[in-house]
Amino acid sequence: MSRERWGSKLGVILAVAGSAVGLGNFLRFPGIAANNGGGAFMIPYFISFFLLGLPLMWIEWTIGRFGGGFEHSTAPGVFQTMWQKNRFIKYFGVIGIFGPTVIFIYYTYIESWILGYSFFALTGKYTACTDSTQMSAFLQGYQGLVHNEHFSGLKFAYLFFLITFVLNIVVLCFGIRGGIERVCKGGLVVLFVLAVILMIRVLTLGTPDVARPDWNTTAGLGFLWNPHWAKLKEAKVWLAAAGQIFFTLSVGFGVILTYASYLTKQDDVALSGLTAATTNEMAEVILGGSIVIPAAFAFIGPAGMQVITGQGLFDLGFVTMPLIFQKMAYGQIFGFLWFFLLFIAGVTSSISLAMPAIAFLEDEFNLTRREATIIFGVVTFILCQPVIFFLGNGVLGEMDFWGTSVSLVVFATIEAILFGWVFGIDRAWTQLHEGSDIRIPKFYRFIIKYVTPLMLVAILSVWCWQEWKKNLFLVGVDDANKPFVLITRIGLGGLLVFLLLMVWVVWKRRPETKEDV
Amino acid sequence: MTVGGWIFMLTSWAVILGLFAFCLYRTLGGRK
Repeated sequence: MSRERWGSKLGVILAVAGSAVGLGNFLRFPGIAANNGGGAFMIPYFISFFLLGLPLMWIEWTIGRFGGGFEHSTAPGVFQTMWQKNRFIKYFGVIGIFGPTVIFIYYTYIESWILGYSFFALTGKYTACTDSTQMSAFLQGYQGLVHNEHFSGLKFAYLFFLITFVLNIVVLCFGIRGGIERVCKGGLVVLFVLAVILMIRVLTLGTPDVARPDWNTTAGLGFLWNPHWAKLKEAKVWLAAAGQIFFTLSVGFGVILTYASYLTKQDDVALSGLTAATTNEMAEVILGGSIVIPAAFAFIGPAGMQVITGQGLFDLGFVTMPLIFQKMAYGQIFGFLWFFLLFIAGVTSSISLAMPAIAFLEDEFNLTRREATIIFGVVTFILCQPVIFFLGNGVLGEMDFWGTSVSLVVFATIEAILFGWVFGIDRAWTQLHEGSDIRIPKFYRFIIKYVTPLMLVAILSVWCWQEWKKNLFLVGVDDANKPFVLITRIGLGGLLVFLLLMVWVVWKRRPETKEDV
Repeated sequence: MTVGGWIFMLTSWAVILGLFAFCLYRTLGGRK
Protein backbone atom coordinates (compact mmCIF):
# COMPACT_ATOMS: atom_id res chain seq x y z
CA MET A 1 0.00 0.00 0.00
CA SER A 2 1.40 3.43 -0.87
CA ARG A 3 1.77 5.70 2.07
CA GLU A 4 -0.79 8.47 2.60
CA ARG A 5 0.45 12.03 2.36
CA TRP A 6 -0.93 15.41 3.36
CA GLY A 7 -2.47 17.31 0.48
CA SER A 8 -0.74 20.57 1.29
CA LYS A 9 1.57 22.31 3.77
CA LEU A 10 -1.41 24.33 5.01
CA GLY A 11 -3.29 21.08 5.60
CA VAL A 12 -0.73 19.60 7.98
CA ILE A 13 -0.22 22.93 9.77
CA LEU A 14 -3.96 23.31 10.38
CA ALA A 15 -4.26 19.65 11.41
CA VAL A 16 -1.54 20.10 14.06
CA ALA A 17 -3.00 23.46 15.09
CA GLY A 18 -6.43 21.81 15.27
CA SER A 19 -5.02 19.11 17.49
CA ALA A 20 -3.56 21.78 19.75
CA VAL A 21 -6.50 24.22 19.85
CA GLY A 22 -9.05 22.81 22.25
CA LEU A 23 -11.13 23.54 25.31
CA GLY A 24 -8.05 24.51 27.26
CA ASN A 25 -7.34 27.51 25.02
CA PHE A 26 -10.67 29.10 25.91
CA LEU A 27 -11.43 27.69 29.37
CA ARG A 28 -8.16 26.74 31.05
CA PHE A 29 -5.71 29.47 30.02
CA PRO A 30 -7.75 32.49 31.22
CA GLY A 31 -8.21 31.05 34.73
CA ILE A 32 -4.61 29.84 35.03
CA ALA A 33 -3.27 33.23 33.94
CA ALA A 34 -5.58 35.25 36.19
CA ASN A 35 -4.74 33.10 39.22
CA ASN A 36 -0.98 33.08 38.68
CA GLY A 37 0.01 36.69 38.36
CA GLY A 38 -2.18 38.07 35.60
CA GLY A 39 -0.08 39.86 33.01
CA ALA A 40 3.09 38.94 34.87
CA PHE A 41 2.24 35.28 34.19
CA MET A 42 3.13 35.92 30.56
CA ILE A 43 6.80 36.13 31.54
CA PRO A 44 7.10 32.47 32.63
CA TYR A 45 4.55 31.59 29.92
CA PHE A 46 6.66 32.96 27.07
CA ILE A 47 9.87 31.64 28.60
CA SER A 48 8.25 28.18 28.67
CA PHE A 49 6.98 28.66 25.12
CA PHE A 50 10.45 29.42 23.72
CA LEU A 51 12.43 26.98 25.88
CA LEU A 52 10.02 24.07 26.23
CA GLY A 53 7.02 24.25 23.91
CA LEU A 54 8.65 25.26 20.66
CA PRO A 55 11.62 22.87 20.99
CA LEU A 56 9.25 20.00 21.76
CA MET A 57 7.15 20.97 18.74
CA TRP A 58 10.23 20.80 16.53
CA ILE A 59 11.40 17.56 18.12
CA GLU A 60 8.08 15.83 17.54
CA TRP A 61 7.66 17.09 13.99
CA THR A 62 11.22 16.01 13.12
CA ILE A 63 11.14 12.54 14.60
CA GLY A 64 7.69 11.99 13.12
CA ARG A 65 8.85 12.84 9.62
CA PHE A 66 12.00 10.77 10.19
CA GLY A 67 10.00 7.72 11.25
CA GLY A 68 7.59 8.13 8.36
CA GLY A 69 10.51 7.69 6.02
CA PHE A 70 10.76 4.14 7.34
CA GLU A 71 6.98 3.60 7.14
CA HIS A 72 6.54 4.04 10.89
CA SER A 73 3.81 6.42 11.97
CA THR A 74 3.92 5.75 15.68
CA ALA A 75 6.43 6.03 18.46
CA PRO A 76 7.36 2.34 18.92
CA GLY A 77 8.66 2.10 15.35
CA VAL A 78 10.07 5.63 15.34
CA PHE A 79 11.96 5.18 18.62
CA GLN A 80 13.35 1.83 17.47
CA THR A 81 14.55 3.39 14.22
CA MET A 82 16.26 6.18 16.13
CA TRP A 83 17.97 3.84 18.59
CA GLN A 84 18.41 0.54 16.80
CA LYS A 85 20.86 -0.93 19.27
CA ASN A 86 18.33 -0.79 22.09
CA ARG A 87 15.72 -3.59 21.88
CA PHE A 88 13.55 -2.08 24.61
CA ILE A 89 13.09 1.52 23.46
CA LYS A 90 10.15 0.57 21.25
CA TYR A 91 8.20 -0.42 24.37
CA PHE A 92 8.58 3.08 25.75
CA GLY A 93 7.07 4.28 22.48
CA VAL A 94 3.86 2.51 23.47
CA ILE A 95 3.12 5.48 25.73
CA GLY A 96 2.62 7.46 22.52
CA ILE A 97 -0.30 5.20 21.63
CA PHE A 98 -1.62 4.50 25.14
CA GLY A 99 -1.86 8.15 26.20
CA PRO A 100 -3.86 9.54 23.25
CA THR A 101 -6.12 6.47 23.10
CA VAL A 102 -7.04 6.81 26.77
CA ILE A 103 -7.68 10.52 26.35
CA PHE A 104 -9.80 9.89 23.23
CA ILE A 105 -12.05 7.57 25.26
CA TYR A 106 -13.21 10.25 27.68
CA TYR A 107 -12.63 13.29 25.51
CA THR A 108 -15.28 12.25 22.98
CA TYR A 109 -17.84 12.07 25.79
CA ILE A 110 -16.99 15.59 26.98
CA GLU A 111 -17.07 16.74 23.35
CA SER A 112 -20.58 15.31 23.06
CA TRP A 113 -21.70 17.44 26.05
CA ILE A 114 -20.59 20.47 24.06
CA LEU A 115 -22.65 19.34 21.07
CA GLY A 116 -25.58 18.83 23.40
CA TYR A 117 -25.18 22.29 24.92
CA SER A 118 -25.00 23.83 21.41
CA PHE A 119 -28.43 22.31 20.81
CA PHE A 120 -29.71 23.42 24.23
CA ALA A 121 -28.41 26.96 23.69
CA LEU A 122 -30.27 27.24 20.39
CA THR A 123 -33.49 25.67 21.66
CA GLY A 124 -33.41 27.49 25.00
CA LYS A 125 -33.63 24.30 27.05
CA TYR A 126 -31.59 25.75 29.92
CA THR A 127 -33.03 29.29 29.90
CA ALA A 128 -35.10 28.44 32.99
CA CYS A 129 -31.83 28.14 34.92
CA THR A 130 -30.91 31.58 36.17
CA ASP A 131 -28.23 30.92 38.75
CA SER A 132 -25.27 28.59 39.16
CA THR A 133 -27.13 26.17 41.45
CA GLN A 134 -29.85 25.64 38.87
CA MET A 135 -27.35 25.43 35.99
CA SER A 136 -25.25 22.91 37.92
CA ALA A 137 -28.37 20.84 38.47
CA PHE A 138 -29.04 21.02 34.72
CA LEU A 139 -25.53 19.75 34.00
CA GLN A 140 -25.78 16.97 36.56
CA GLY A 141 -29.14 15.93 35.18
CA TYR A 142 -27.71 15.81 31.67
CA GLN A 143 -24.75 13.74 32.89
CA GLY A 144 -27.15 11.30 34.53
CA LEU A 145 -25.80 12.01 38.00
CA VAL A 146 -29.25 13.05 39.25
CA HIS A 147 -32.83 12.79 38.00
CA ASN A 148 -34.53 16.17 37.92
CA GLU A 149 -37.07 18.25 36.02
CA HIS A 150 -34.59 18.71 33.15
CA PHE A 151 -33.51 15.11 32.52
CA SER A 152 -34.77 11.77 33.76
CA GLY A 153 -31.83 9.74 32.49
CA LEU A 154 -28.98 9.55 30.01
CA LYS A 155 -31.05 9.47 26.82
CA PHE A 156 -30.01 12.94 25.61
CA ALA A 157 -26.40 12.52 26.69
CA TYR A 158 -26.16 9.13 25.01
CA LEU A 159 -27.72 10.36 21.79
CA PHE A 160 -25.27 13.25 21.52
CA PHE A 161 -22.44 10.89 22.39
CA LEU A 162 -23.45 8.52 19.56
CA ILE A 163 -23.59 11.40 17.07
CA THR A 164 -20.20 12.71 18.20
CA PHE A 165 -18.53 9.32 18.24
CA VAL A 166 -19.84 8.31 14.83
CA LEU A 167 -18.80 11.69 13.40
CA ASN A 168 -15.24 11.15 14.64
CA ILE A 169 -15.09 7.64 13.18
CA VAL A 170 -16.51 8.72 9.82
CA VAL A 171 -13.95 11.54 9.51
CA LEU A 172 -11.14 9.13 10.39
CA CYS A 173 -12.36 6.59 7.80
CA PHE A 174 -11.76 9.15 5.08
CA GLY A 175 -8.08 9.23 5.98
CA ILE A 176 -5.46 11.94 6.26
CA ARG A 177 -6.27 13.97 3.18
CA GLY A 178 -9.95 13.26 2.63
CA GLY A 179 -10.93 13.29 6.29
CA ILE A 180 -8.62 14.97 8.76
CA GLU A 181 -7.15 17.62 6.47
CA ARG A 182 -10.52 18.60 5.05
CA VAL A 183 -12.16 18.87 8.47
CA CYS A 184 -9.26 20.80 9.97
CA LYS A 185 -8.98 23.25 7.07
CA GLY A 186 -12.68 24.11 7.22
CA GLY A 187 -12.98 23.71 10.95
CA LEU A 188 -10.11 26.00 11.94
CA VAL A 189 -11.34 28.76 9.65
CA VAL A 190 -14.85 28.54 11.12
CA LEU A 191 -13.41 28.34 14.64
CA PHE A 192 -11.38 31.52 14.22
CA VAL A 193 -14.31 33.36 12.64
CA LEU A 194 -16.62 32.36 15.51
CA ALA A 195 -13.99 33.28 18.08
CA VAL A 196 -13.48 36.72 16.53
CA ILE A 197 -17.26 37.31 16.46
CA LEU A 198 -17.51 36.37 20.13
CA MET A 199 -14.47 38.45 21.01
CA ILE A 200 -15.99 41.50 19.32
CA ARG A 201 -19.36 40.84 21.00
CA VAL A 202 -17.73 40.57 24.40
CA LEU A 203 -15.41 43.56 24.07
CA THR A 204 -18.31 45.77 22.93
CA LEU A 205 -20.47 44.82 25.93
CA GLY A 206 -19.20 47.87 27.75
CA THR A 207 -21.02 48.22 31.08
CA PRO A 208 -24.09 45.95 31.00
CA ASP A 209 -25.32 47.15 34.41
CA VAL A 210 -25.28 50.96 34.64
CA ALA A 211 -25.74 50.70 38.41
CA ARG A 212 -22.33 49.01 38.53
CA PRO A 213 -20.04 51.08 36.30
CA ASP A 214 -16.94 49.21 37.51
CA TRP A 215 -18.29 45.99 36.07
CA ASN A 216 -17.20 46.44 32.47
CA THR A 217 -15.17 44.54 29.89
CA THR A 218 -12.11 46.81 30.14
CA ALA A 219 -11.93 46.11 33.85
CA GLY A 220 -12.47 42.46 32.94
CA LEU A 221 -9.42 42.55 30.69
CA GLY A 222 -7.60 44.16 33.57
CA PHE A 223 -8.60 41.26 35.84
CA LEU A 224 -6.69 38.98 33.48
CA TRP A 225 -3.85 41.24 32.35
CA ASN A 226 -2.96 43.51 35.30
CA PRO A 227 0.39 42.20 36.58
CA HIS A 228 0.81 40.85 40.11
CA TRP A 229 4.59 40.79 40.40
CA ALA A 230 4.75 39.10 43.79
CA LYS A 231 3.38 35.93 42.23
CA LEU A 232 6.57 35.47 40.21
CA LYS A 233 8.39 34.56 43.44
CA GLU A 234 6.23 31.42 43.72
CA ALA A 235 7.60 28.29 42.09
CA LYS A 236 4.08 27.01 41.46
CA VAL A 237 3.47 29.90 39.05
CA TRP A 238 6.47 28.91 36.90
CA LEU A 239 5.31 25.30 37.04
CA ALA A 240 1.78 26.34 36.05
CA ALA A 241 3.16 28.24 33.06
CA ALA A 242 5.28 25.30 31.92
CA GLY A 243 2.32 22.98 32.37
CA GLN A 244 -0.03 25.23 30.43
CA ILE A 245 2.40 25.51 27.49
CA PHE A 246 2.87 21.78 27.56
CA PHE A 247 -0.82 20.95 27.42
CA THR A 248 -1.83 23.74 25.08
CA LEU A 249 0.60 22.77 22.31
CA SER A 250 -0.39 19.08 22.41
CA VAL A 251 3.23 18.01 22.67
CA GLY A 252 3.99 14.70 24.35
CA PHE A 253 0.82 13.00 23.12
CA GLY A 254 2.48 11.24 20.19
CA VAL A 255 -0.10 12.85 17.93
CA ILE A 256 2.16 15.40 16.23
CA LEU A 257 4.69 12.60 15.67
CA THR A 258 2.01 10.59 13.84
CA TYR A 259 0.78 13.55 11.81
CA ALA A 260 4.35 14.46 10.79
CA SER A 261 5.02 10.87 9.67
CA TYR A 262 2.85 11.55 6.62
CA LEU A 263 5.26 14.23 5.42
CA THR A 264 8.00 13.54 2.89
CA LYS A 265 11.68 14.10 3.59
CA GLN A 266 11.57 17.27 1.50
CA ASP A 267 8.71 18.78 3.48
CA ASP A 268 9.62 21.51 5.92
CA VAL A 269 9.07 20.91 9.63
CA ALA A 270 10.80 23.94 11.15
CA LEU A 271 8.53 26.65 9.76
CA SER A 272 5.46 24.40 9.89
CA GLY A 273 6.04 23.60 13.55
CA LEU A 274 6.49 27.27 14.38
CA THR A 275 3.36 28.20 12.43
CA ALA A 276 1.22 25.55 14.14
CA ALA A 277 2.48 26.66 17.57
CA THR A 278 1.85 30.33 16.79
CA THR A 279 -1.65 29.57 15.50
CA ASN A 280 -2.40 27.87 18.79
CA GLU A 281 -1.06 30.87 20.73
CA MET A 282 -3.31 33.21 18.76
CA ALA A 283 -6.31 31.11 19.73
CA GLU A 284 -5.19 30.97 23.36
CA VAL A 285 -3.74 34.36 24.28
CA ILE A 286 -5.58 36.70 21.93
CA LEU A 287 -8.96 35.02 21.47
CA GLY A 288 -9.14 32.86 24.60
CA GLY A 289 -7.96 35.74 26.72
CA SER A 290 -10.66 38.05 25.35
CA ILE A 291 -13.87 36.10 25.77
CA VAL A 292 -14.48 34.30 29.06
CA ILE A 293 -12.91 36.64 31.59
CA PRO A 294 -14.08 40.03 30.22
CA ALA A 295 -17.61 38.67 29.60
CA ALA A 296 -17.89 37.12 33.03
CA PHE A 297 -16.45 40.18 34.78
CA ALA A 298 -18.92 42.52 33.12
CA PHE A 299 -21.85 40.51 34.52
CA ILE A 300 -20.65 39.14 37.84
CA GLY A 301 -17.99 41.61 38.95
CA PRO A 302 -14.69 41.11 40.80
CA ALA A 303 -16.04 39.06 43.73
CA GLY A 304 -17.79 36.67 41.37
CA MET A 305 -14.62 36.36 39.31
CA GLN A 306 -12.61 35.15 42.32
CA VAL A 307 -15.05 32.27 42.59
CA ILE A 308 -15.12 31.29 38.94
CA THR A 309 -11.40 31.48 38.30
CA GLY A 310 -11.03 28.85 41.00
CA GLN A 311 -13.56 26.68 39.17
CA GLY A 312 -12.62 23.73 37.10
CA LEU A 313 -12.93 23.66 33.35
CA PHE A 314 -16.33 21.94 33.42
CA ASP A 315 -18.00 24.38 35.78
CA LEU A 316 -16.66 27.34 33.84
CA GLY A 317 -17.68 25.93 30.47
CA PHE A 318 -21.03 24.36 31.33
CA VAL A 319 -22.33 26.37 34.28
CA THR A 320 -20.89 29.88 34.28
CA MET A 321 -20.65 30.63 30.57
CA PRO A 322 -24.24 29.61 29.70
CA LEU A 323 -25.43 31.96 32.47
CA ILE A 324 -23.23 34.75 31.15
CA PHE A 325 -24.51 34.38 27.59
CA GLN A 326 -28.10 34.32 28.83
CA LYS A 327 -27.62 37.77 30.28
CA MET A 328 -26.61 39.18 26.89
CA ALA A 329 -28.90 40.38 24.15
CA TYR A 330 -29.35 37.54 21.62
CA GLY A 331 -27.77 35.31 24.23
CA GLN A 332 -29.22 32.13 22.69
CA ILE A 333 -27.40 32.77 19.43
CA PHE A 334 -24.12 33.77 21.06
CA GLY A 335 -24.39 30.82 23.43
CA PHE A 336 -24.83 28.55 20.42
CA LEU A 337 -21.81 30.11 18.67
CA TRP A 338 -19.75 29.67 21.85
CA PHE A 339 -20.57 25.98 22.22
CA PHE A 340 -20.23 25.33 18.49
CA LEU A 341 -16.77 26.92 18.57
CA LEU A 342 -15.80 24.61 21.43
CA PHE A 343 -17.25 21.64 19.56
CA ILE A 344 -15.09 22.34 16.50
CA ALA A 345 -12.07 22.74 18.77
CA GLY A 346 -12.97 19.41 20.35
CA VAL A 347 -13.45 17.49 17.10
CA THR A 348 -10.16 18.64 15.56
CA SER A 349 -8.46 17.49 18.76
CA SER A 350 -10.26 14.17 19.18
CA ILE A 351 -9.63 12.99 15.63
CA SER A 352 -5.93 13.60 16.23
CA LEU A 353 -6.02 11.57 19.45
CA ALA A 354 -7.34 8.56 17.56
CA MET A 355 -4.61 8.63 14.93
CA PRO A 356 -1.68 6.96 16.75
CA ALA A 357 -3.66 3.78 17.46
CA ILE A 358 -5.18 3.68 13.98
CA ALA A 359 -1.82 4.35 12.33
CA PHE A 360 -0.22 1.60 14.42
CA LEU A 361 -2.82 -0.92 13.22
CA GLU A 362 -2.39 0.20 9.61
CA ASP A 363 1.40 0.22 9.53
CA GLU A 364 2.27 -2.73 11.69
CA PHE A 365 -0.63 -5.09 10.92
CA ASN A 366 -1.09 -4.12 7.27
CA LEU A 367 -4.72 -3.12 7.65
CA THR A 368 -6.47 -0.62 5.43
CA ARG A 369 -7.42 2.74 6.93
CA ARG A 370 -11.07 1.72 7.09
CA GLU A 371 -10.33 -1.63 8.75
CA ALA A 372 -8.05 -0.04 11.32
CA THR A 373 -10.55 2.72 12.07
CA ILE A 374 -13.45 0.32 12.54
CA ILE A 375 -11.44 -1.89 14.90
CA PHE A 376 -10.36 1.20 16.84
CA GLY A 377 -13.95 2.45 16.87
CA VAL A 378 -15.38 -0.78 18.22
CA VAL A 379 -12.77 -1.10 20.96
CA THR A 380 -12.96 2.52 22.11
CA PHE A 381 -16.77 2.55 21.94
CA ILE A 382 -16.83 -0.28 24.45
CA LEU A 383 -14.23 1.45 26.63
CA CYS A 384 -16.26 4.70 26.57
CA GLN A 385 -19.20 3.04 28.35
CA PRO A 386 -17.70 3.09 31.87
CA VAL A 387 -16.95 6.79 31.43
CA ILE A 388 -20.60 7.46 30.58
CA PHE A 389 -22.27 5.20 33.14
CA PHE A 390 -19.83 5.67 36.01
CA LEU A 391 -19.09 9.36 35.53
CA GLY A 392 -19.77 10.20 39.16
CA ASN A 393 -17.46 7.46 40.42
CA GLY A 394 -14.10 8.91 39.42
CA VAL A 395 -13.52 6.89 36.22
CA LEU A 396 -12.91 9.99 34.09
CA GLY A 397 -10.53 11.53 36.60
CA GLU A 398 -8.48 8.36 36.80
CA MET A 399 -8.22 8.12 33.00
CA ASP A 400 -7.25 11.78 32.82
CA PHE A 401 -4.51 11.24 35.40
CA TRP A 402 -2.85 8.36 33.54
CA GLY A 403 -3.60 9.53 30.01
CA THR A 404 -2.61 13.14 30.51
CA SER A 405 -0.65 13.94 33.67
CA VAL A 406 1.55 10.84 33.55
CA SER A 407 1.81 9.80 29.90
CA LEU A 408 2.46 13.22 28.42
CA VAL A 409 5.32 14.29 30.62
CA VAL A 410 7.00 10.87 30.56
CA PHE A 411 6.68 10.60 26.78
CA ALA A 412 7.92 14.12 26.13
CA THR A 413 10.93 13.55 28.40
CA ILE A 414 11.84 10.35 26.55
CA GLU A 415 11.42 12.09 23.18
CA ALA A 416 13.61 15.01 24.16
CA ILE A 417 16.41 12.88 25.58
CA LEU A 418 16.29 10.46 22.65
CA PHE A 419 16.45 13.33 20.16
CA GLY A 420 19.21 15.37 21.73
CA TRP A 421 21.35 12.69 23.32
CA VAL A 422 20.83 9.29 21.69
CA PHE A 423 20.09 10.30 18.13
CA GLY A 424 22.63 13.05 18.70
CA ILE A 425 22.20 16.80 18.43
CA ASP A 426 24.27 17.03 15.22
CA ARG A 427 22.16 14.47 13.38
CA ALA A 428 18.99 15.88 15.01
CA TRP A 429 19.85 19.41 13.87
CA THR A 430 20.49 18.22 10.31
CA GLN A 431 17.22 16.31 10.26
CA LEU A 432 15.31 19.30 11.62
CA HIS A 433 16.65 21.46 8.80
CA GLU A 434 16.02 18.96 5.97
CA GLY A 435 13.76 20.73 3.52
CA SER A 436 13.24 23.55 5.96
CA ASP A 437 12.03 26.99 4.95
CA ILE A 438 13.76 28.75 7.86
CA ARG A 439 17.05 28.51 9.74
CA ILE A 440 16.46 28.07 13.43
CA PRO A 441 18.87 30.17 15.53
CA LYS A 442 21.94 28.14 16.49
CA PHE A 443 21.44 28.67 20.24
CA TYR A 444 18.50 26.30 19.94
CA ARG A 445 21.01 23.45 19.61
CA PHE A 446 21.96 24.16 23.23
CA ILE A 447 18.35 24.60 24.29
CA ILE A 448 17.18 21.36 22.66
CA LYS A 449 20.07 19.35 24.07
CA TYR A 450 20.26 20.75 27.60
CA VAL A 451 17.51 23.17 28.57
CA THR A 452 14.37 21.41 27.31
CA PRO A 453 15.25 18.00 28.80
CA LEU A 454 16.25 19.61 32.10
CA MET A 455 12.95 21.50 32.28
CA LEU A 456 11.08 18.28 31.56
CA VAL A 457 12.96 16.32 34.21
CA ALA A 458 12.23 19.13 36.67
CA ILE A 459 8.50 19.09 35.82
CA LEU A 460 8.44 15.30 35.98
CA SER A 461 10.10 15.29 39.39
CA VAL A 462 7.89 17.96 40.92
CA TRP A 463 4.66 16.51 39.51
CA CYS A 464 5.74 13.06 40.62
CA TRP A 465 6.07 14.36 44.14
CA GLN A 466 3.20 16.83 44.29
CA GLU A 467 0.49 15.37 42.05
CA TRP A 468 1.17 11.72 41.40
CA LYS A 469 1.66 10.73 45.01
CA LYS A 470 -1.87 11.71 46.04
CA ASN A 471 -3.43 10.25 42.91
CA LEU A 472 -1.54 6.97 43.25
CA PHE A 473 -2.69 6.55 46.84
CA LEU A 474 -6.26 7.71 46.10
CA VAL A 475 -6.01 10.65 48.50
CA GLY A 476 -9.32 12.53 48.52
CA VAL A 477 -11.25 9.75 46.77
CA ASP A 478 -14.50 8.71 48.51
CA ASP A 479 -14.45 5.19 49.87
CA ALA A 480 -17.51 4.38 47.75
CA ASN A 481 -15.62 5.35 44.59
CA LYS A 482 -12.35 3.62 45.36
CA PRO A 483 -13.41 0.28 43.78
CA PHE A 484 -14.37 2.08 40.55
CA VAL A 485 -11.10 3.97 40.43
CA LEU A 486 -9.09 0.83 41.12
CA ILE A 487 -10.96 -1.17 38.49
CA THR A 488 -10.31 1.63 36.00
CA ARG A 489 -6.65 1.57 36.95
CA ILE A 490 -6.48 -2.19 36.42
CA GLY A 491 -8.28 -1.79 33.09
CA LEU A 492 -5.81 0.85 31.95
CA GLY A 493 -2.97 -1.38 33.06
CA GLY A 494 -4.50 -4.14 30.98
CA LEU A 495 -4.70 -1.85 27.96
CA LEU A 496 -1.05 -0.89 28.37
CA VAL A 497 0.02 -4.54 28.65
CA PHE A 498 -2.09 -5.38 25.58
CA LEU A 499 -0.35 -2.65 23.57
CA LEU A 500 3.07 -3.81 24.76
CA LEU A 501 2.18 -7.34 23.66
CA MET A 502 1.07 -6.07 20.27
CA VAL A 503 4.45 -4.39 19.82
CA TRP A 504 6.21 -7.59 20.86
CA VAL A 505 4.15 -9.61 18.35
CA VAL A 506 4.81 -7.14 15.54
CA TRP A 507 8.55 -7.14 16.08
CA LYS A 508 8.70 -10.89 16.49
CA ARG A 509 7.04 -11.34 13.10
CA ARG A 510 9.27 -8.76 11.45
CA PRO A 511 12.25 -10.13 9.46
CA GLU A 512 15.64 -9.01 10.74
CA THR A 513 16.39 -5.88 8.73
CA LYS A 514 18.58 -3.05 9.69
CA GLU A 515 16.85 0.16 8.76
CA ASP A 516 19.45 2.35 7.15
CA VAL A 517 19.84 5.58 9.00
CA MET B 1 -7.12 48.10 33.51
CA THR B 2 -3.77 49.52 34.62
CA VAL B 3 -0.96 50.73 32.37
CA GLY B 4 0.93 47.55 33.22
CA GLY B 5 -2.08 45.51 32.11
CA TRP B 6 -2.24 47.26 28.76
CA ILE B 7 1.51 46.82 28.29
CA PHE B 8 1.37 43.11 29.01
CA MET B 9 -1.69 42.51 26.86
CA LEU B 10 -0.48 44.50 23.86
CA THR B 11 3.08 43.18 24.08
CA SER B 12 1.82 39.59 24.23
CA TRP B 13 -0.43 40.20 21.27
CA ALA B 14 2.42 41.87 19.37
CA VAL B 15 4.80 38.96 20.00
CA ILE B 16 2.28 36.41 18.81
CA LEU B 17 1.01 38.39 15.85
CA GLY B 18 4.59 39.22 14.90
CA LEU B 19 5.53 35.54 14.92
CA PHE B 20 2.44 34.74 12.88
CA ALA B 21 3.22 37.47 10.36
CA PHE B 22 6.75 36.10 10.04
CA CYS B 23 5.38 32.59 9.47
CA LEU B 24 2.90 33.83 6.90
CA TYR B 25 5.59 35.80 5.07
CA ARG B 26 7.96 32.84 4.90
CA THR B 27 5.20 30.37 3.99
CA LEU B 28 4.12 32.55 1.10
CA GLY B 29 7.60 32.35 -0.32
CA GLY B 30 9.94 34.70 1.50
CA ARG B 31 13.68 33.96 1.09
CA LYS B 32 15.53 31.94 3.77
